[in-house]
Order: sequence, then structure tokens, then C-alpha cells
Amino acid sequence: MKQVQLRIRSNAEIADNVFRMEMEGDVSAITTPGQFINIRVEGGFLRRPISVCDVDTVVTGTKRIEKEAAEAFGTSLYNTPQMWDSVVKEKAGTCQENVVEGTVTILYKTVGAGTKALAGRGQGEVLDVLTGLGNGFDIRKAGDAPLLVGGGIGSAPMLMLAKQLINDGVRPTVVLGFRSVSDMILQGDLYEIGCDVYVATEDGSSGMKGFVTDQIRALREQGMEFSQFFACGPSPMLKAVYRDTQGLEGQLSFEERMGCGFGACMGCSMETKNGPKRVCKDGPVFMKSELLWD
Amino acid sequence: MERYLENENDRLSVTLCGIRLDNPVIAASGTFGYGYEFAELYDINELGTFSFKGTTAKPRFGNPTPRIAETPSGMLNAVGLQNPGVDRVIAEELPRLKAIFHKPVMANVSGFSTEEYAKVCESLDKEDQIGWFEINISCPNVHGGGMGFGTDPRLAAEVTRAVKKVTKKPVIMKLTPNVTDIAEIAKACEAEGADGISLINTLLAMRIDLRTRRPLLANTTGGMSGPAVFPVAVRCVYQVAKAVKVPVVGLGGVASADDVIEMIMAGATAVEIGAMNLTEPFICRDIIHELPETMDRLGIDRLENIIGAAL
Repeated sequence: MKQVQLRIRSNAEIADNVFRMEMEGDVSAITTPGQFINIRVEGGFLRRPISVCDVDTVVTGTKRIEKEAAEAFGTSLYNTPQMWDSVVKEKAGTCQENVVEGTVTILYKTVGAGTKALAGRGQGEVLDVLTGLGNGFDIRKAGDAPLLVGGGIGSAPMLMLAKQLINDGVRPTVVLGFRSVSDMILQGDLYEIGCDVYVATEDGSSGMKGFVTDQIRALREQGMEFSQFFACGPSPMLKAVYRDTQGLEGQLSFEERMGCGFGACMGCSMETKNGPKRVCKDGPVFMKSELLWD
Repeated sequence: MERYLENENDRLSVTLCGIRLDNPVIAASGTFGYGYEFAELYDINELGTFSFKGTTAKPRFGNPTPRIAETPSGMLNAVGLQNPGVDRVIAEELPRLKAIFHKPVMANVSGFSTEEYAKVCESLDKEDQIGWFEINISCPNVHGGGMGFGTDPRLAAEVTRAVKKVTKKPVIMKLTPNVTDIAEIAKACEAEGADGISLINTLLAMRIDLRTRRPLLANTTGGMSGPAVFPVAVRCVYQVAKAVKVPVVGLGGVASADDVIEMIMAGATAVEIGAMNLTEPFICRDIIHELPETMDRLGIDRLENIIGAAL
């Protein structure tokens, strides 16, 4: 966990009451898809925990200057290592050593005063954020045919997860569920990076009419087989996915009202087969095999 | 130079029930776990000390969720004393703690009967690292215990007597503000040999979800903490400090070095910081760092000189 100041690069409504915010700064603590950040909002006492949708990191400091210098002048200009050294070091003196900087993208729904205040913040404003919170998805368990399931705003972490899987050479199947087409998010982003994306809406305004579980059932009936599922969404959706995926191992990301977000207050505990766990610190992602839903 | 630094350190130090603290800042029980989460962020040995998570005889899961709600400048919690039970605290938590924290720690103890308080204290008494017992007779989130003992001077006295019988370590009774006369409860504890009084625990409160028309917390009610309760806490500390001779530990909504000094002026020997740890994880360390400058500004040489200055 790190406490950092992040500068807003963009903050725009992308679906009904759903905003996409990009922030830049030190995002080095965010390492795993499924992690979240906890944002201080104006007028609120508690921070607002929000899933990481995507992270893009850039190396800064000496390494970046080396890279920029090499790109601008070519290494041949600096014909002695000492000269190279002095130029780079002089330039690097003004910045921190090799800090990982970059951008983090979040998607959030305006439901209360805190998220509404967040929606009112604009480009260039700075937010106080605790980053790199929680245990995310374990992509080592993904296998060769992972199934990603997102429900509503719970679809957010699927973008970073899908990108990491694709980097590892695995093409995930993604099933997204929304109430209506006006709530739909991320299906374009996921399609663009090479996922097979299927959408279900409750009112049938886009994709299959029904729930994510109807879509998953249809895919399995068509003969598709999956190696592991990754799900994030409202609790009824998680329960339905859990029930409908017998014989398939999976990982589920939970939501709970939190106090601190880093494991100190026991505000968000849940019972599991391995005893009480904190959603914020031990989760938010839990293995299907740990859950007490049988 | 060395001598100067020594004096600098002395400016902040206070003595709580015979044990010297480097500074008066204590992280409050229930907001600091067993210290590990914060040890990842800063050296927790900078603290005066901390009071670990309220411990009961048996493991407890606590209340169903939601356990947390927000309030203006504060929060409600209804965790309900989730803890692994005293045996596992001794077997697992305290050995781990020893590796990261090298000062006497405060053991916060809860119970559902006088016997349970005594039994837990007796088990923990053998642990060298425990400097003080803080006896929580003020938890508003459990049924058939907790605050029930802290709202009746007779029962508060009974728990104090039972705990004093099983330990020679200082016993600090943690009181609830949800009473008519908090000084009366404090005096009842002092009369049975309490070595100190800490206050306030949270204020009994509730919130309702306007959409579902139901209480926000699964437990219906919860305990309110955070900066919103600070003036209530100052008043209670002041009333108790006037009524008893034993040291008082002030807590409730403390959020700055100024607040720490205000608590000390109200009569507190040491000051606990609770809810603010949850939203500003570096707050205890930052306050400790800010204290000398704040003292300079206010013309305070040593914190010990201003204990109860407002009484």
C-alpha cells in the first residue's frame, strides 16, 4: 500500500451515472488486477474504495532519461562511458530515481454524496489516494481458456485482467451483464484488445436478453469449455455464477462497506472455509473453493 | 548535541501508571489490529504505544455486515469484537508482534461476564510485553456484555475488582460516554483499585438507508467515532480528570497535534488516536512529528507540565 497524490487526467461520464477517471502519478503499488484504490473525497470522512480498471506504468528517473537521450541523439554522440554518465546523471539529478509513474483508470458509479463529489472533479485536480490495496486475481491459475464475468460496474477490473492474460498469450472469453444498453461499459475496450465478448442485458436492449448466467449456459451448450472463471459483480450475480459453474474452479471478487480498506478495522469481514477473512485485505478476490455457499 | 536531543525527547515523554512513554500518542484499540498493517507503512516503534484489538476468551466473528456507515466528520462501526480469542492471541499474535514492536503494549480486554474479563487477564498476565491492561467495559456493539458493565457503577466496580485480583500490571478501565454521569463510573472503578481510566469509547448511534427504509448497519445501532465526537470526549475527560486522582487516557475524535494538546489540557496523561488511523494511516506518526513545533507555537516546554492545565 502507498499513500500518493494522483493528478486527474480525465473524468467523463461513459454510461448512465458511470464515470471513467484517469489519474497520473506513482501507481507502482498497483500490481495485480482485482486490486482497488481508496480515494479521499470532499466532505466525506471515509475514503471511497474503487476497483482498478486499468494501469499503465512508465519508468521515470535515470532510466527514462537514458532512453530519451538515446532516442534523441543516438548513443554514438557519447563516445566515452564517462561522458554518457555525466550527461545522464546531470539530467537525472532533478528527478527521483526510477520511480514507476503512470496512469490508473477507474470506473465508478455515482450512488452517494462521495462518488457525486468525485464526478465533479476535473482535469488537473489532485486526489489523495491509498493505492495497491487488496489481493487481486491469481492469473497463474487461469489455464488456457479463462472465462471473465463482469456484472454492471463490477466489470471494471476485467480490463486489466484481460490485458494481463493476453500478454501471457491467453485469449479470454468475456461475459458482461447489464440492466440495459445504457449501463453498458467496457465491451468495446475488451473487444479491441482481442477478447471474445458476449453481453447479456436484463431488458434485451443489447446482446442476449437475460443474465450473465444465461449467456454462460448458452456458451457451454455450444460446446465451449473453460479452464477457470474470474467474476466481479453484485452479490446475487456472484451467487448465481457460483451455482451455475459446477465442476469449474473460479475466483470471485467481493464488495463490502469498508472502514479503512487495508485490514485494520475488521469492518468488512466475511466467513470462509478458512475462517473469518477481511474482504479488503485478504480479498477482495476469494477462491470459489473457500466460499461457504454450498 | 546529544544532551540537546535528550531534552528534545523529554519534551514529549509522559509516565502512564509508572511506565514511561516516549510520547503520549497511543493508537486506539480496534483501529490498529495487532500493528502489522501499520508496520508495513512506518516504524510503529515511534508510537508511545498502541492498544491491541479487543480480546475475549473465545474466538468471535462479530456482527454481520454491513458493519460500517459514514456520518458527518465521523463514522459508525458495529464490528462486535471480532477477534481470534485469547489463546490464539497468545500463541500467534503476540509472538509476531514481538518481532515488530519493542515497547510495552496495551492489552485491550473485553468480556460478557466478570469471570470472562478475569480469565482473559489472567491468561495474558504472563505475557512480558503487555505493559497495561485496558478493560473495555464500554463496547456498544455486543449484547449481554461490553457496555452493560460500563453503564452501572456497581458492575464497573465488580469488573475492576475481579481484574485487579488476577494481575499486578496496571489496569486501565475504558469507559463509555453513554451514561448520565461518567465521573461516577470512574470513581467507582478508582475505588476498586483501577490504576487509570481511559475514555471515551464510541457513542451509541444509528443511521437509516433512505432507499431501503432500513437501518444501514446490520446490527441496527453502532458506535460513533471520528472528529465529530471530539468535543464530547474533551468534556468527558475533563469531568473524569476532576473526579479521580489516577491518570486519565483521553480519546475520541483526536485528529491533530492541537487535539492531543487539548486533551492533555483537559486532564489526559496520554492520548489515544482511533478512527483517524482508518482514513489517514500515517496520522499517529505525523502527529508525533508535529508535536514539538505545535508546542513551540503554544509556548509549551514539556507536555507533562500541561496535564490538566484547564482543570
